[in-house]
Amino acid sequence: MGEARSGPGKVKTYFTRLWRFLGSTRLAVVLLSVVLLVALLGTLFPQLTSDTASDPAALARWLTTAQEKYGFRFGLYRALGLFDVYHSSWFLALIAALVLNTLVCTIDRLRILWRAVTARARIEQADNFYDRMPDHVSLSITSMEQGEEALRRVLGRRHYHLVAEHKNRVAYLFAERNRLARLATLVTHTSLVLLVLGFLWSGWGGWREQGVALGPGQIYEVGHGQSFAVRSDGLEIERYPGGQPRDYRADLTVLENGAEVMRKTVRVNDPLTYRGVSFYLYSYGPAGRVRATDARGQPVPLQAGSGQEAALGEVTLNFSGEGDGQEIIVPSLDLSMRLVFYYQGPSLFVQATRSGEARPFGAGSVRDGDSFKIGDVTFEFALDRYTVLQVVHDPGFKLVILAGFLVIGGLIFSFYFPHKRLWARVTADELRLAGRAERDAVGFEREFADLVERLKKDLGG
Amino acid sequence: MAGLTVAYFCLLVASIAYIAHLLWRKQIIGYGATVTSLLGLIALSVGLIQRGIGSGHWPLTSTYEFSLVFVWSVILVYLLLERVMNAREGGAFALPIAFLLYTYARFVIPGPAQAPQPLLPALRSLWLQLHAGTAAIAYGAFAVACGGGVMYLVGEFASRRGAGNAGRLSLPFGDRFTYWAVAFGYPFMSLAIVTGAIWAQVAWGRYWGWDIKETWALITWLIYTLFLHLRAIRGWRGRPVAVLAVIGFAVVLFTFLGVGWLARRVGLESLHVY
Repeated sequence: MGEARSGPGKVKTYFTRLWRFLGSTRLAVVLLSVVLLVALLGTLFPQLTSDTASDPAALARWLTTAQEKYGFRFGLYRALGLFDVYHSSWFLALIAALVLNTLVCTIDRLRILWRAVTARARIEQADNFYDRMPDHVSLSITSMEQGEEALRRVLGRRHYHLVAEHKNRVAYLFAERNRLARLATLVTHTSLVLLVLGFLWSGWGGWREQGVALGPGQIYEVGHGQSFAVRSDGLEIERYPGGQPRDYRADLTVLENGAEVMRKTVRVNDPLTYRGVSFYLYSYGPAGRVRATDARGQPVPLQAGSGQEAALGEVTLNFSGEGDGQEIIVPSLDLSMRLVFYYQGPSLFVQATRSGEARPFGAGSVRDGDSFKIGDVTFEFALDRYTVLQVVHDPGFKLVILAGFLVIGGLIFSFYFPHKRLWARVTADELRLAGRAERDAVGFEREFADLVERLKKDLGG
Repeated sequence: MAGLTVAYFCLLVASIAYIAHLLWRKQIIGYGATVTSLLGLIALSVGLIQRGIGSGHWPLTSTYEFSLVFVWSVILVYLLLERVMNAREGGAFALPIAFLLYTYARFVIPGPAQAPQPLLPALRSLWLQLHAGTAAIAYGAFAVACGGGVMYLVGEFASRRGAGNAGRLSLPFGDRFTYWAVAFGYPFMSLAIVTGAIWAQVAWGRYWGWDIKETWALITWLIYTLFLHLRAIRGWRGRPVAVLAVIGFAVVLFTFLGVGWLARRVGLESLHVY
């Protein structure tokens, strides 16, 4: 036997030790502290979100600001991952360690908890057991039957599950409630692991398109392997009497192969979801529509901005806000038009310039519904709003929320409905009652005191 | 708004009465303290309901309103705990926190920010209301836990000095008081995070974006997760967890009030800075 211990036995001890360490509450405490400090660290530095990183203009702005702020330390901080703490590999490794710790601990306790739930409780206890329980009492009675019946009445009314054994003119009783709450901690911990998995799934299996701006009538092809498109049908704003916005409503239509398959009015807290892709109303802005027709009423080609394809007769321009300018080109007249948006009105300030000339030959302000003529081409202007959408596919969300609610369910059982046990030993002249609740539930002290009061009353009357 | 003023004075009187009861142990003072707190809770409830009816939405949409519900929750959780533990010592530590929070709401938050505002579209959500409501209850419980932690530390200090009546503060009582308050608040904190995530998903399509307020809510949650695990290790009950309960509440207050300041300092944008 002595020989064997240096062989597989020793390996086993090392493994057991490692296993114990991995599943220990001490490790949990250390890891939780580190995750906490790292999470805190991330809030002390501006984080470069993936949204910013995916937008070149925003990224350039971010980099300039950050370099100005941190100077020569910027490169070092960036290399350390301080500007993207929550997506850095070492943060991921920490979370992985925490998940491993949780899993090992859960597996470790599985057997003990399963036994606690399925095994038959010990009804008869040694004489010195009762005084060692957190709550205990000794009452005088006149007969064993009187004591046992009083216990059955009082505990039965409190919905305790009760079993009894008789031995040598002594009655032993065992009563319990919420036995299954012992398993709640397993639910809580495994659900937390599920939640982390769901979170990773969201990050790896999902995608998002930021700030998709759609003027009225514009169509957005979803892409990402999806064959449908979404058309914006305009946006309305409802206001309080004081002028503050009360509700934004954007009408969206889902198109599949050109056919309308779904319509919905999207609000700020009410997105449209089709085939796992959700469209969130994120923002809106002013849009201008220009329509051009010739003397016979035929549409004239227009080009939005240089280098764009010409559209027949109508273009929609999305303005980022006050003072933003956009350009359209009218090839048939060989001129360009610059339109600048102003909230006053609201109106568009229009300047027309012939190609090759530096100075505009005409300028003026137009409002919704206004029109003017250049040569024999009539330009009509309409002012409207465009809708800004977030387009999101997030496969992990449901799992995360389900796991989140399971965690809460587990916590509620662990903390509010803990497993409670009572043991009683009834002889001809003495009733001893002892009890305990898991997790040191504070409410149990009072419940026990109440039980004793009721027992006394029952025994007295 | 008479209810709110009555509640404020009830809190002041109850705080003084609980402290007097702790020092002189007169049963009648203790009873008076409980009754006054209960009156304060009722007056505050009435004030909140009036405000809700007046503005046409749940009183949970501004820092001022949230502060009032926070105070309401501190009183509620404390009174529950007083009943369950059948002891009044904790009131001398929990009620003054409620009073100070209320003082902040009444006198530090500027008047215009106290006036009821119409609900902006982003705030019109059941999930937001659940999020803010559960967060307020959790914060209230953590405030009570902080009171418990202070009670433990004061009791320890007093017993080492062998000083008078405060020396009779039982340390196991302080420890259990603190633990119960944390255990009560923790599921609510978890619920606040989950409902907040659902709201974020419904409103922005992103349930978790490491926004600075979200991260601080997570830090708060982690602190109390740490508390519960630390307490399960032999030898760490008592002073370490009492200190952690106090630190935890400091984090709660920072999450509640300090995040806006931090966001401006670091130059991060937060969707939560209203």
